[in-house]
Amino acid sequence: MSFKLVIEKASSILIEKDLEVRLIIAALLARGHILLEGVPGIAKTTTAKTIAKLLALDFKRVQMTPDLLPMDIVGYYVYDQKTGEFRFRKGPIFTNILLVDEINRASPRTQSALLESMQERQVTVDGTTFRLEEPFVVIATQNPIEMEGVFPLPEAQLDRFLVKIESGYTSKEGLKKLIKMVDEIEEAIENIKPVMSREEVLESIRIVKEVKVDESIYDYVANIVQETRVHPAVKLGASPRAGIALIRMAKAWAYIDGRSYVIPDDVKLVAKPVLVHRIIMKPEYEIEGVTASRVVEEVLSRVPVPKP
Amino acid sequence: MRKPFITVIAAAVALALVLGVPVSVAQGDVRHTPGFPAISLENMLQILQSLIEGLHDSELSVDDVDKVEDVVQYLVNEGVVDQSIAEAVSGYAYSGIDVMSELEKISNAYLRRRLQSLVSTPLDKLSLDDINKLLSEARYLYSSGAISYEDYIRTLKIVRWLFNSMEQAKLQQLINSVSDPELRKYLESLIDMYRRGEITRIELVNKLLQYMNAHQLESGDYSVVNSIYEVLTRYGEYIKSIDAEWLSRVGDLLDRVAQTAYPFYRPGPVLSVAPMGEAVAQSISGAPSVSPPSIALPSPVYIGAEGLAAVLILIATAVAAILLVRVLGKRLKGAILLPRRAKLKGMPMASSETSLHRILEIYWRSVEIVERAIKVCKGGSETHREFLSRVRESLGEAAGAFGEITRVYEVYRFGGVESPELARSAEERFSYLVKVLGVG
Repeated sequence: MSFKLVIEKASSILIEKDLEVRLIIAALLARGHILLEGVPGIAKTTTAKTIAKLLALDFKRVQMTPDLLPMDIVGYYVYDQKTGEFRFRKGPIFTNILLVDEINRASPRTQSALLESMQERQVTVDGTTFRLEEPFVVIATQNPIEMEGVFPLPEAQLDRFLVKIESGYTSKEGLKKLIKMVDEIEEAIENIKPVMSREEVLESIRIVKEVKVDESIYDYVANIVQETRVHPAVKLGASPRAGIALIRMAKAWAYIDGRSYVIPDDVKLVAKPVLVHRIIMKPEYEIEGVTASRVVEEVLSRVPVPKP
Repeated sequence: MRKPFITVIAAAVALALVLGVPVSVAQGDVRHTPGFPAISLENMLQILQSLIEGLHDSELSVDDVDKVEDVVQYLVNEGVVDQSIAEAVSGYAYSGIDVMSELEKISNAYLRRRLQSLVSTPLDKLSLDDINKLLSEARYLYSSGAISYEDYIRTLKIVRWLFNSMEQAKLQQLINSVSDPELRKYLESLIDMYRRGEITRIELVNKLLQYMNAHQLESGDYSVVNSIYEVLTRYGEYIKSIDAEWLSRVGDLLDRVAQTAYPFYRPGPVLSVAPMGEAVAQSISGAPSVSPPSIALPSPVYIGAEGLAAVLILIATAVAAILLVRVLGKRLKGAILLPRRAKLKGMPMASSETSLHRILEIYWRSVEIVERAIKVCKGGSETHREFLSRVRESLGEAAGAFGEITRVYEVYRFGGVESPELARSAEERFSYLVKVLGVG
């Protein structure tokens, strides 16, 4: 059972998406959700669909709009004329991988209903609670450019995403390859055969929890989180949840790498996607062009790794 | 026979240290830093070097080099540090450099050619992309060990010079393209004020906005004003970002270097010369009790009778120290590794075999050996894998052994795997490493 194989297979189909695929799989193994930020047309849906197929997982997609209601996502009761009873019709949230396109276009009410379900891994409709399927991962996308008619996610809700992946355009060579081979790529995606079963994925999620984390790694993570709070350019640093997320992602990263223990490199590699969206910058520094990403880089270059 | 000899040598050293140090410190105007630890000049320079090289952890940018070099230049000008000491630091200031002579000093032929072609390109044909490409190439060449640190720093100097020249040319071009003569004149005066540090960036923006609100500008002028602001915010920004704490830390360090290297050193008469640049002067003048930038002329040291006595004592100390090293040899060498060993003592020992604890010692000793052999320093925030990938190519045939030691360290340290085979493997590779790199 190797996730490296899944990543290799996905990389052979998707162009220049290795890191994104790996991060998405790591987040899935860490039982977290992903915020994918990028302009339209950069294969966000295709990436999610490919991963779902390779892992034999169910996949659904919801396009968010301002008039979308929470019931459109979680489901609703309909009257069954034959039986004379109300029957629950499950919404698209009942799946393994849910792609929520343009999450910031939905109203705050719908956003919070979705985010609550993501956190609780269950939905309650008319007093009845329904458990969501396992594994369950939400890949929410948002366009960083458009500002009109959107409802930006509040910081507290951003914190609920385990990672934020900034997805960009492919290189010129990648683009050339893509436009040249678009038909072959589409065909390859259609014909993907799963390389893992759902049960194997669930077993892996269980094993990831057991990945060993040395005491010094906990110290290292705590120092990183602490350092983001005292950075002069930061208004609000990483939360305790960020520390937990960092450890979880590092464990999943180590597992994908075939190790049963976390090393400082794992923490460093996942630190940016885990921390950047949880840091609020001081406006005066933001104006100067200092980004949260730069702050995390600085923090990582300052915090000493465990020694000896 | 040997024991009395050692006793005599030890007594000589003790006497020399007790007498020699106070005498040398008591000379004339020599400044002494109280509580200054007994640390060699070599070590002090290493600390300073690592301070500068430490910036490599987060990818050394041109701005970072500038910060260090501006501070060093400032300290030289203030008479805190002798010119020759500052020159011992690789990242020495280069304001107003002679580009052609810097180019000639670059030993890597490929890099020299690349730089020559960039320098000979007319500024209006040069793009930021060209500069960035060259910078990435230089970084790659340096990180892979293909070019020396000196070549790398020289490249950064030339790149910085190119960048500044480009920004200046672009600024001039933008100003020339302003159609409204009144606005052109106003912008020129604003730029001058900004360069001299008379207005902050916020004030600059406010003044521009006020002007634009008050006057009906042609649509093209708005974009030009915007571009000018963009260029200005890049231009000279690095100089303003030197923070006071950092400056005082480096200053303190250099001061200590000065004390150690030149016990008889005293700041000579200070001759005021033209400032290095308005922006630099402005940034420095913000510090308390700092006079305008100036260059210190080290006065010749005339050694009189008192000085001669001090020199004799110092020579005695040196001779005694050499003899001591020869007698105690390996024991002293071991002491160099003391700080890291002390940290090893704090680690819990592996429960099954004492030899397992040795894995940690082997790894850190190997790091020391590699550092000395290829003249690099493992950064505090650098992981064991990052360090390995940085030194792998330079290690040649020893790379495999160091790689295996690193792997064993990782498995034991973070994986908690306690196996005698691991310890044996590390021990074998360590012996090989010592044999190949020739330092133990």
